[in-house]
Amino acid sequence: MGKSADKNASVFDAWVKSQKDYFDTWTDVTEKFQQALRGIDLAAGATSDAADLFGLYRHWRQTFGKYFDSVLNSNPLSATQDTMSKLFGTADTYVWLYEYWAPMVKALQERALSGDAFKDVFDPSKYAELLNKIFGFRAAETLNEFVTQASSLVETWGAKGELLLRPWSEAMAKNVDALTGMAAGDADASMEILHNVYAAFDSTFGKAFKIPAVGKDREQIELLLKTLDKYAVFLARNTEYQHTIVSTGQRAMEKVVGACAEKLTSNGEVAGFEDFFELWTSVQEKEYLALFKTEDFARLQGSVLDAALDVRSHFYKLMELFLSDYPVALRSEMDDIYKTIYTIKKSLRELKKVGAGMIGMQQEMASLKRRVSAMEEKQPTRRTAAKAARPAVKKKKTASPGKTVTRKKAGRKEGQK
Amino acid sequence: MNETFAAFDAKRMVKEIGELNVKLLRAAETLTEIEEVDVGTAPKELVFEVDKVRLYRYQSEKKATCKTPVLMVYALVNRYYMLDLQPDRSLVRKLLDNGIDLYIIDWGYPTPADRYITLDDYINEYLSDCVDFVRESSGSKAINLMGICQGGTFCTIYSSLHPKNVRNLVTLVTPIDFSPDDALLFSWSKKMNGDRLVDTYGLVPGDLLNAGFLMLMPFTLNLTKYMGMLDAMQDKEQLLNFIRMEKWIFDSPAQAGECLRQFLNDLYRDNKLVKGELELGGRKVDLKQVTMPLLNIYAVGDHIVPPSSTKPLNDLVGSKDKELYEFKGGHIGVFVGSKSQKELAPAIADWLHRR
Repeated sequence: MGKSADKNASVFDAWVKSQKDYFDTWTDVTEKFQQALRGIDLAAGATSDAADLFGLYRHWRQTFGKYFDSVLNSNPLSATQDTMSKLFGTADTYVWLYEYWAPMVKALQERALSGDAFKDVFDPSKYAELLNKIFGFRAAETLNEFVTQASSLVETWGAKGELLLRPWSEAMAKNVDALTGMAAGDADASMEILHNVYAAFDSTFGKAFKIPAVGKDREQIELLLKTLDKYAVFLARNTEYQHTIVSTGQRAMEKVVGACAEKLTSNGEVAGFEDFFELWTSVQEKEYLALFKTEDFARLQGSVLDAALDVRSHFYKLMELFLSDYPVALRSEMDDIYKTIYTIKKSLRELKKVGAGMIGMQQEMASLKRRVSAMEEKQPTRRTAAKAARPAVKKKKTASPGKTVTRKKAGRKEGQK
Repeated sequence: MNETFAAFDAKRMVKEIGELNVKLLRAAETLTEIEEVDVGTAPKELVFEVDKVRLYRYQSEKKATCKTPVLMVYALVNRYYMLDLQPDRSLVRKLLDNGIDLYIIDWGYPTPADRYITLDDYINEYLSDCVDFVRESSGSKAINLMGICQGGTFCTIYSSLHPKNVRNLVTLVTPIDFSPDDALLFSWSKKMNGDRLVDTYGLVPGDLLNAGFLMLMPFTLNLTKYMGMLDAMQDKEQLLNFIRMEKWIFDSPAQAGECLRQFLNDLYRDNKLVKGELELGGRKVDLKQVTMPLLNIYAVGDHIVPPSSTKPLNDLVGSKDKELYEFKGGHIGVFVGSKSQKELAPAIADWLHRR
């Protein structure tokens, strides 16, 4: 641990040093850049100019990003990996906001920016990108891949449709000429007509008679189209959802700018970026909470989830169809097995309870018997009393060896044992 | 306006960004030094298990002074070790220090094979089996039940169906009345199609539920939490504390579909528990059958289970000895906050000792 900690420390110290050198260079370049631009009438859009400056930061981040990734991958603990990943993601958001804050504050100071004028420099698409990142609006890779594949399959299907029609139209064109010949009494013309029609049939519908039944393929195509249809519905609802989220974020941003301007007007001070970040997050949270509490939002969110689940369930059905020819256990088959296992377990549990109940009864019976015996010992029954009353039976002499003694058994009276 | 870029203090700007990145690097450095994220470290012994459910008994150097043991029942949606996150933030350790003989149920991590487990199975089979075990092993005819959040709902339902097995009932931040709309989870769940969710997934992923929880406070939970920790992250102990909480937050088990279906439909959507319409195993759940002493704890600042959902329990039960305890904190603070250690654990222990 000591050696690896030392190794880590030296790696990180080197990184910190290289970063310090990088940022010193960055400062130097920026100052020279600013001096070169002084006096030049810059085009509106401080954001784009600031983006050039922050482009340097992003380039640094990308370059060192791969080193961060290798550090992440070498760490075996998923909890620390996840935390590091979220930390760097948050830092990117922080810096992104910084990019917006710096020129905005200066504009506020120079009274060149108000709540309305803010809209001129505010880039809604970039802000939407930030909010998408926070709210996780990112379609799953599998879904994107599926849509790409499904779209190309449908295009192929369309191309195949064209292939189906072309031989027939060509045959018709040829047959027009052949009909002319037939009208002129050409015997071969009718054969030609027949030949053209047969060739067209053979290259189109005739193929259907030579291949296996198309039931499953048709089912696949129909399900594929249905899934794409469901995806379109999901996209429409998700777009409305994202629009609601982004427009709320933009309204919140206007309030943030208004608050900054008010603060500047009242005490003439510009808040540090940390204060701005705090203000930004608290205003955003408040605005979104107000939105989330509305019934309309709850309904919209529910409908987006519903549409997403609809796509997913159709996607699962499609996968089952595709995989049905392969030697793999399908989900529906596994569900059958799970249901059977669950039912058997439940029955077994019931039987165990019954068995435990029976054992309990047996123990009770045994206990009862012991009590009865104990009672019999204390209170003699008629049998034990009769036995006690009987005179002691004299011991008879046994016959000497060789002599047989015959005794008659006394007759038993009725009722006697 | 056009002069804006040319006029601002680039040096200061770069310095601030640079400082941020130094903090990031230092935090990454500290993160790589962490070898283990230890949670739930209070010593315990596995005493019983059925399927994936495990029952543990906590070991304590101190002898238990409360004769009747306590069975703690946590929710299904998160892991039980939140109650014993770290030695100085452990409701479990505090209760043990206060003389409680403590058992806890670990519901485990459901797999697709568990998708058909119902609410009835969880309460009338698994919970019932654990209660019976504790009763037999302790020689007590009735034991104390302590339910947390959804676990409290389970305990309340169990107590109404099997009141003779429960000596005292303690509920912490437990949802009972699902009609209030002052919590987002409640209002959102009502507009959700629970049947489609369960029919699609079967076993509903924990990540999906987590995404819902994070949406309750998206900026706080996704941004400011991490930025706020940046300064503290260079301290290994503080960072470890943070990571433990992160581990718990994102360690959400999947949910058995059929149980979740009934919980969403019958409780969140139709509020059958308070209406007396909830049926389990062919029996109606009647809260008036809860006649044992009740300690019902709610958190004032709870944004997940609002007080308006927890408090009504006291009016619905048939208990004569019942108490409502207000905790000034949030849903998580009730387990891990310092106030919880100092005030809540001794209060619970004292209440139990007196009964």
